Formats: sequence, structure tokens, C-alpha cells
Amino acid sequence: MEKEYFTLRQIVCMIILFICGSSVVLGGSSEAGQDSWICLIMSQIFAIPMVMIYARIVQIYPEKNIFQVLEILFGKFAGKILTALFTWYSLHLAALVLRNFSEFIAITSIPETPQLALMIVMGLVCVHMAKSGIEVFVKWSLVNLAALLLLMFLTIFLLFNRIDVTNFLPIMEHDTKTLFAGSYSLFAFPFAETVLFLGITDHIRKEDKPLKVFLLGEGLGALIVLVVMLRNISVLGAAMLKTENFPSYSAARIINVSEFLARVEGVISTNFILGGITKISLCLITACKGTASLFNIKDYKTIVMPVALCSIALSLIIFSNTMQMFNFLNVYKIYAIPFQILIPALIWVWSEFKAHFKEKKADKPA
Amino acid sequence: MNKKIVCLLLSLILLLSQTGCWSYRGLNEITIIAGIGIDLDPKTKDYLVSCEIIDLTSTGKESGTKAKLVESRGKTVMDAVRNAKKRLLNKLYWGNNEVLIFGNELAKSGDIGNVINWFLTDAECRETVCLVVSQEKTAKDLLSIYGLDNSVVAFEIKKIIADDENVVGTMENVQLFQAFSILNSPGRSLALPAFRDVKNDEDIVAESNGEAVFKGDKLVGYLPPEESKYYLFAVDEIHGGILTTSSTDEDQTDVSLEISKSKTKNSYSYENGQLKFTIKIETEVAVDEMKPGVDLLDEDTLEKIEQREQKMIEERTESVIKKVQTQYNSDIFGFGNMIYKSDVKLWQQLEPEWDKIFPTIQVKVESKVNIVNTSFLKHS
Amino acid sequence: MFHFISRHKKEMVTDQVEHLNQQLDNNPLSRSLQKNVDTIRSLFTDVDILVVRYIQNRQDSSLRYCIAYCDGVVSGEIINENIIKPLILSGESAADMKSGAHLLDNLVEKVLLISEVKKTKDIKEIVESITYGDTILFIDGVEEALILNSKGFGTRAMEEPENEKILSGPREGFNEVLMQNLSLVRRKVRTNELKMKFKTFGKMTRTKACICYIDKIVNKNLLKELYRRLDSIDIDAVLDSNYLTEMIKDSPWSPFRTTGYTERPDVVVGKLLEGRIAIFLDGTPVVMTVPYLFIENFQSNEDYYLSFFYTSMSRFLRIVGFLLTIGVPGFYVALVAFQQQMLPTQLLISIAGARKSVPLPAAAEAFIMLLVFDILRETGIRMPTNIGQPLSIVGALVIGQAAVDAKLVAAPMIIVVALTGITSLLVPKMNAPVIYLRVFLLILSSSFGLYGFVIGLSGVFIHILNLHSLGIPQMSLSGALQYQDIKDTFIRAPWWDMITRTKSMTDNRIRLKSNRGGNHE
Repeated sequence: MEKEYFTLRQIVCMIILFICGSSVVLGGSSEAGQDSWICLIMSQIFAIPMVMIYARIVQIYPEKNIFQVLEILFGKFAGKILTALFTWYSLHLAALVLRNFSEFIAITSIPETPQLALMIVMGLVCVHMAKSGIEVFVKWSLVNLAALLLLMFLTIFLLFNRIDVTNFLPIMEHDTKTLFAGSYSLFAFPFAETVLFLGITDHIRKEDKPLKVFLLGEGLGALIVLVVMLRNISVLGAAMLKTENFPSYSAARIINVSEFLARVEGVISTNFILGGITKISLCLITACKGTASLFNIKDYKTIVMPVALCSIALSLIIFSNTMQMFNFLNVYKIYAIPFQILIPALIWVWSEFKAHFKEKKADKPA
Repeated sequence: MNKKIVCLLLSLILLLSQTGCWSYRGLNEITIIAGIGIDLDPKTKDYLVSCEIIDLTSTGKESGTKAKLVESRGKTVMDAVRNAKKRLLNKLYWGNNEVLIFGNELAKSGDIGNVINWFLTDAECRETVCLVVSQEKTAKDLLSIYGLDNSVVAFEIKKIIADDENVVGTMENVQLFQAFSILNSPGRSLALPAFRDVKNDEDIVAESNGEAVFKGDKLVGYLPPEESKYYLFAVDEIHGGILTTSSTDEDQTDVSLEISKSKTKNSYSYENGQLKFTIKIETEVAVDEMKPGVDLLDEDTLEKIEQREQKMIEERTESVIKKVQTQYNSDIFGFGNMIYKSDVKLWQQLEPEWDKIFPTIQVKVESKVNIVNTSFLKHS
Repeated sequence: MFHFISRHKKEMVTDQVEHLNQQLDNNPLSRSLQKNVDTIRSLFTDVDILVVRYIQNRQDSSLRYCIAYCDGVVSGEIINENIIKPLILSGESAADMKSGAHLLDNLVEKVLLISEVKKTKDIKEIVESITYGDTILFIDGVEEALILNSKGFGTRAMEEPENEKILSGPREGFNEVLMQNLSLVRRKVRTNELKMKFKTFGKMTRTKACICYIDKIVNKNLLKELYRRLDSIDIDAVLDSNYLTEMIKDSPWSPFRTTGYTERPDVVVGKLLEGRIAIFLDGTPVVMTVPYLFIENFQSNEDYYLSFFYTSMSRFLRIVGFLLTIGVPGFYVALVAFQQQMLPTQLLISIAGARKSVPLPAAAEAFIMLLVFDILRETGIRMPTNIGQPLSIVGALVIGQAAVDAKLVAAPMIIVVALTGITSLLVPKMNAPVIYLRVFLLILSSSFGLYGFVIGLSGVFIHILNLHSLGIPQMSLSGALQYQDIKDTFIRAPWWDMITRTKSMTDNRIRLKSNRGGNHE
């Protein structure tokens, strides 16, 4: 079978959609109230260098994914351990996102339905996507990105009469500590989660510039989250923002254009689901690739189903209630450090070192 | 391949056997609430909830939609709502509830914060529900009458509130989420539309009657419609309505002016511990009604009318502000919030003493009225 | 990648075919006229329409012939005037002609007045030709036979196809005769680049097929792939092009079409010119075209004959129609049973009023009404046309009005089902998938509400993205959505602006020299 490749634009689209996928629903940091948008901009201070590291890894090892890189760098044994860790992270993230969305759906519309049923249905769609391969996934994210942007601008347009710019005031009311804490949690979720893209970088062509692509995707993704956040702040105000679980959903609920275009939150929130499917599918693909490389399975598509079942089961048992899920966001930013920062940084430093060493070695005889 | 198909079919059958239950809630299994009134029993401190429900037996035919009232009581709002089910066939459904009416008693006892919170927490209630204070004894009194067109009074109240700001200009449409924001933002108090029952022809109907002024989540008093209008001028919420002057003027230039556009700009200064607020109101009006003999093409006349209106707006707005400052001591104009938004440090300094500072604020109103349009006749 | 069926099921080939083949192999032609005739007669035992006639030349009685043909599929006039008459009256003496194998050549060149003549020794070919309306000429003392074309079976006139009616544009349609169909296409494309390759399918039916393509435009890889798939077909009978369609389908379990079909020559030519390959089959007016893009489900040949303003609109309506026809019942149930909040208050009250005394829940009601609708539709198709009219009245009156009055069904459901039914007629090429998708979405909506509906819709979309035709994706959303690629999809761009052909299908993309908006320079 021929290897499927992305084009530049496709990766950018995928990264954007991945970043927006669940943060549009959960709305990012809220402890900073009307200053959330400053947190977002500040989070880029961490996010951009991190993304540059990811891109650098891709640059050093073109057409390889992180699992192959780990094996090359650290040998069979240590490589497998790191692979297992990273695979766990993507599996766990898939479970987390799945849980987020099933909780969202349960809270907003169908509280009596067992979440397992919902997760299975949603999981099956993601399995279908993961099994269809990268080619289909790319097309899917392309269409979805268009839908996402369209609905985002539509909501802003429809909410225009509700926008109150004084809601942004006072600027910088919170102290820098709160702002930094907020911006760090925004960094861990969603921006640094782009580390999962390292699982599918073997589909990026050698001649494409990963740095440009990663930065562009990350920047545009941040821009969209920023726009969404500005909309939510200006429409809802700081007080509502701090108490709401799903600010974007609430913002959609108060759309009312002359009693005619009202009650459209159902249509708009479908967009969230599409973003969620994208995100879960990518986590699944990465988890499957990791598992495949862990057990030396040739085609990752054969194990999509079992891996998906694992993550569905996992998503059922990770939280016993909704409150835990929202609280976990605070734990998550610490929990994710090894996967988002340590492993990639380790790979980067080690590979730079190795490359340097090799160069010297090559220089010596000459 | 065959095994796969069998597995797929089996799982499909399993899935199918599961459908139709869970959250499935047919339209014939719900009781649609149009409006809800909440009162407090002064003795037992129980919540009394009265829901106006849609009576489906008469819909679809020419008689129009009818409503019925369901009452219940409980220790909390949720408790009261669940107790209502005891006398109902179907579950109560809140998704299309249009108004939330606070009884006089409840508002005075300072429980509206709780109620607003409960309604926001519930996923089914919409954030855009209109809030109303009943000037009658209870909220039930407002809901138990029939509307003017003999149908659902909650819908009527909602429509009156929605149209008011463009036509009459005596009340501000505050929706659930906005009320929550106001209650939770520093230096700002809540003012909600007030309604009362009046006799009209043979029937008793609901009528809007200015604003109810809250301090924190306690009701402290009412502003009559005419004063409410100038409250709206001060907070820049006026979009329509009529300006009239008394006919005591010697030169017989009495007119009714219809407001077409109004813009208010507030600013403040803080010097030597004295807060000064300046409210600049710029209003565009059209001449609607005039006494015979007024020449509208005459610039002098127009200017005279404008000047008089300006003076009137200034005086009355100032007097309303004075009244709220001294009588209610409730910052419904959001002066504190303005300071908070532009100068957090000053606000933090003033906040503990705000109740004492607020009545002493000097407010100056500067008004400008432009007549931009005459009505059909040049002069009469 | 391809889920292409390569099931060479030997069981399909019946014992009869094996038997026949053995018999044919055991009976070679001989020099003796009588023996050859006996062979034919024995092969066609109990086939009473076989006619065998002996002929002797009037001048030279040593020239003895025998013709054999099947009655009914030949033209009597041709046999009388062009075969029997010259054979009997021919002035050439046996001495002139009779020099071994030259006798045959002489007969062909000097005597027979038949355009298409073929020499053969192969008894299989002879059997095939006789059954196909040819006349076989045996000559005494010659080991070979001549196959003379005397086909003359009744054919249907070239009428406009019933199911592809259009308002304006060419009105001819294919009939069941392969050669006539080919002639219709040939006449429209007068170039030697139009290739027509014959191939035979069906062990039993030996159905002739013709693979047509335009050499300079077609994508050679696709052509190779098509041949690979066609070569692996091993089936006893091919009566319609759908037999081939299902045998070469990329995803055999998908309800969506992955090959095109048409009965109109103008459509076939249009597709050939876009780089597609057409497969004609004898005995059916339906021509199959591959590869098939998803958007072709929404295209109609009329789109290209009417103003592009008008047809862009109708293209858009068809796409909307497809979404409506699969989505409306599910969406309605989701709204009515889960997301009541999304209904405006007045609408909610009136639907609730209509539903209050109806016995079934909305989901069950939707299932039943869809079933009833499909029964009505199927009956409408199978009915003789003169009963169709009363049937539709009865259907509309009884099912609609009476059911609502009797409070069996809520009135909004009738509207929903009617909308579903009418919109399904907008996309006749997708009649199979829409039925299943509708029910699929309905099940998900009635379990999970609007979110179930959206998840289901995503599943459908992923499935569509997964579809391939001849190995190329049916929905080709390339990373760069370029204007040229969407010119013939959601809209129909004006002809002067459709500069290129679809990328994946052709080796030669340029369709026309850019000449924007005619010659107004």
C-alpha cells in the first residue's frame, strides 16, 4: 500500500481543529475572569517554544513518528518504555476527551441516558475514522474546520447585539500569579496537546517545513480560541464566565435575533461534537500507532477496535462524577508535564547532542 | 466476513432494544410552563411556586391557547417544583418558560439570589428568561389573572417587557443571566421591571409599572414609570418613548416628542474625597403631537422647544438620581461599577465605604435634545 | 485499499456449461456436409427454432450447400435475397471455384451478397453465432464454415428513456442492441481517439460488451485497473450492467453507487470526454460509466444544456434535498422528543397540541410512516400505469387525511414524511442509500437526540469520504480547495470557465483554451 502524505495546508487545518476541538466547549481558563484573554496570549509564551521543539524533532527525523524516533534514539528497551508512556498518554487523553464530550451531552440534553451507550456510539464513529486512515481524516478535518469557522463567525454575528465591550474592564485586575496559573493551564490544555501530532508525523513529507506548519497551525488555533474567548467574555461577562461549565454553549443559548433566530444552541453545539470526534480520532490514531510499535504490529488499523474499547472503558472509570472531571483540569496540567514537555525535550536534546556528536565524528577523520 | 456480519447484526439488535427509553421524552409527556411565579410564605419560610401551564386540550382549534395555574410549596425551589408533580400527570418542562416573577414578599426578604442561581443551574431553564417583580401581594396574583386577549398572561408580560424599551421606555428588560451578572459585579445594583394588576373595562389585566429597585438581593422600593424613564436615560437604556411637557407654559408651544435615538455618556472625577459624576445625554426626537398654532418650520420655536426639553430632562434625571441616592441608597446606576472598571485601585479604596459614599455623590446631568423630524404637518 | 470482490466462484458455473463445452470440443467440423449438419442438429436437439436448409447450385449440381439459422432472430429477406438466391443462381461453375480452400474465398468474393462474413472451424463460435442471428453456411467437401451476418431481430425504437426525462437537450436513448448503441456514441464523437474494445461476459449468456474510452483523455492507470477487475469476473450470466457493477465495486457492502449508469448517449459522451470509461453491454440499454465521483449523484445532463444560473441553483437544491431526505425524520424526532428547547414556544405548543392524543411516540410513528411511504412508493412503481393515479389518491387521502382525523398519526408527522418522500425524488441515483441512512439516523436520534443525530451524520460523512471508485476517492477534497475543482460540484460554472477536467480521472486536464466569457476582447 502506498503511504499517505499530508499537504502543508492539511496539517495546519488539523492542528487548528485539534486545538479548537474541545477547548471551544470547555472554554479554557476561567479563574481569571475577564482577563482570560490575556492568559491566552501569555500562554503562547510557553506554547510557541514548545511547539518549536516538536517541529524541530520532526525536522531532525523526517518521515518518522515519535515512536520510531524513540526507538532510534534510546534503543529497544528504553525506547519501548517511553513508547509505552506516550501511548498511555494518548490513550488517556482519548478517554478524557471522550468523557468530556459525553458529560457535555449528558448535562446539556440527555441526563438519564447511560453515558456508556453514548460513548460507544461516539467511539464507534471515531473507530471508523481511525480505520479509514489518514487520508479520510484529513478530508474530514478540512470540512470541519470550514464548518467551525462558519459557525463561529455566525454566532459572533448573531450575538452582535449582546456584545458589551465594557465587560473586558477592568483589564489586568488579577495579579500576575493568577494570570500565570491561568495561562499555564491553557498551555497544558489545549496547546501543548499538539504533542500528539508527533504520532503521525511519519505522514509529513521530507521537503515540507515542519516549523512553519506547526507554528502556523498553533498560531491560527490560538487565534480562533482567542476570538471565541473574547466573544464569551464580552457577551457573558466575568461573573457568568466564572460560574459556567460550558461558556460557549451558554453564549449560544442567549442568541436571540428578534425572536426569530433564537434557541439555536443545539445546531451550534453540534459543531463541538464534530471537533470532539476529530480530537478523539487523532488521539486514537496515535495510541494505536504507539501500541502497534510496542508490539511490533505492522498495520495500526488492525488494532483500532481493541484500543478504542480500552479507552472507552477507561473513560468510564477515570471519574466518578462530573465535579471530579472539572477539578481534574487542575491536576492535568501537572500530570501532563512529562508527556508534553519532558519526553519531547528529552528527545530534542538527545537528538541534537547525537547529531552534534556525529558531526564531530565525521569531522575527525577528515 | 459472515461472522462479522452476524456480530454487527447482534450488536445492532442489542442497540435497538435499548432505544426509546432513557431521556426520550415525548411531547405528550411534558407539561409546558409558560411562566412561573415564586413567593415566600412569611410564616413558614416555604417557597410557594405557581406555574402557569399551557392547557393543551384547547390548542389547535380556533379558541386559542389557554393556560392553567399549578401551585406547590417546598423548602427549596427544587423541592417545591418536585412537589408540583404530585398533582400533575406529566413532568414540568421549563425550556420554554418565558418569565420568572418574584413575589413582593420574596423580593423584600432578599432571596432572589438563590432563586436566580437555581434557575441558572438547571440545564433546562433558559438564560434569557425575563425577570419581573410583582407589585401585588404575591406573584400568584399576577399569574392568576387572564391576559387582555384572554390567553396566557406570561406570554403577554413577556411581550410587554420586550416591546416596552422601544415604545414606552419605562422599563429595562433584564434577563436571567444579566441579573446574575449584575448581582455578582461590584458596585452595581439590580433594577427589575415591576408589574401590577389593573382593572381594564370589565377584566383585570397586568400592567407594567416602572422599576423595582433592589439593594443587593433585597427589594427596597419602586420607581414609578415616569421616574423609570429618567433612570433609563441615566443608564443609557432608552430606545423609545415619549417626552411631554406640562401645559403651564405661557407661549403655548406644548408638544409631545417621540424619542428616536438617545445616547448617554457618563464620566466621573474624584477630587479631595468628593466624587462627581457627569451624565451627558444626547437625544434625537421627532415631533409627534402639538397644540394648534405652533410653527414647526420656525427655528426659534424649535430651539425653544429643544431648550425646554433639555432642561426638563436634566431636572428630572437629577431628581430621580437624588431620590435613589437618598431614599433607597442603591447604586442601580452602576456608578461604583464604572469606577471599578476604569480604576480598580480607587474602587478598592472606596468599596468598604460605598454605602456611605453613594448618597453623597454629586451628579450633574447635561442634556442635549435635537428635533430631527417633524410629523405630517408643517404647522397646526 | 480496495475491498474489491475477487470471488471466483466456480460453483456459479453450472454443470450444463461444462457439459456443453465437452460436447463442443468432441465435435470438430468435417468435410462431409451431412456430418456437419448432423453435428449441428445434435447440438440443437429440442431447439425447434433451428432451421436447416439444403441448397444446390442450378448450373453445377456438385456445388451443394446447407444453411442453418435460428428462426426469429434472422431477417428472412437477407437470407432469401442475399444468401439463397446468389447461391442457387450463381453462374460460376464448380470448376471455376473449386480449388480446395479457395472455394470459400471465391464464394465470399464473388457470390454472397453479405457484408459481414467470417470463416471458422470453431464449433463454439458457430453455436454462438447461430443463437445471435447469424446464418451458418456449410459447403460440401469443405472443412470450414462461413458465418454470415443476417441478424434481423425485432428491436425497440430509440425512445427517450423513461427515468431520465429532461426538458431540453438531445432526446435519443439507448435500446437493447449493442451495435446501435455504439453507433449513437460514435456519431457524436468523430475521432479515431474514441476506442471501442469488445469483451465477452457470462459463461452461459456469452454477452458481448464494449469498453469505450477516449485515448487521449483517459487515465491509463484507471483503464488498467478496470481491465484487471473485469478479467477476474467469472459468472454464468450478465443480463444488465448492474451485474458488472456489483462485481467490480470497491466497497461491496456500501449502499452508495460507485459506478454511474445512464440510458442516454449524450450523457455517455459527456462522461467519456471527462476521461471516464463507459461499458456497453448487449441486451441492456443501461450503460455503465466508471469512475464515479460522489458529486455525480447530484448531476444531471440537463445541467449542461440550460443556463448555468438556473442549473447551479438546481444542483444546490439536489444537495439540500439529499440532506433533507436522510435527515428530516431523525431531526424532527430529536427536536420533538429531546431538544424541545430548540422549538419556538408557539410551534412547541401547536405540535404538542397535535400530538397530545396520538397513541404512538413520535419515533415509532416515524418508523411506521416511513414504512408506509416506502410501501406506497414501491406499489406505485410496480403498478400498471393506469392504476397508478387512483392509487396515489387513495394513498394520499387514506394515509394522510384519514389517519390524522382518526388521531392515529399527528399532522406534523405527515408533513415530515411527505417532505422526506418528495425530497428523495430529487436524488433518484441515491434511492438505495437514502432509505437506510434515514432509518439509521432515526434510530440514533431516537436514542440520543440531536447529538445522536450529529454523531450519526458524521459516521455517514466518514463513510462517504471512504468510498472509492476504481481506486480513486469518490469525494476528492484535496488539501487545496481550488476553484477549478469545485466548478462542477456545488455549482455548475459556465462552460467558458470550466477550463480543466477533474484531476484524478484524466491524464489530460486541459479542456479548453481559456476564452473567458466568449470573444469579447
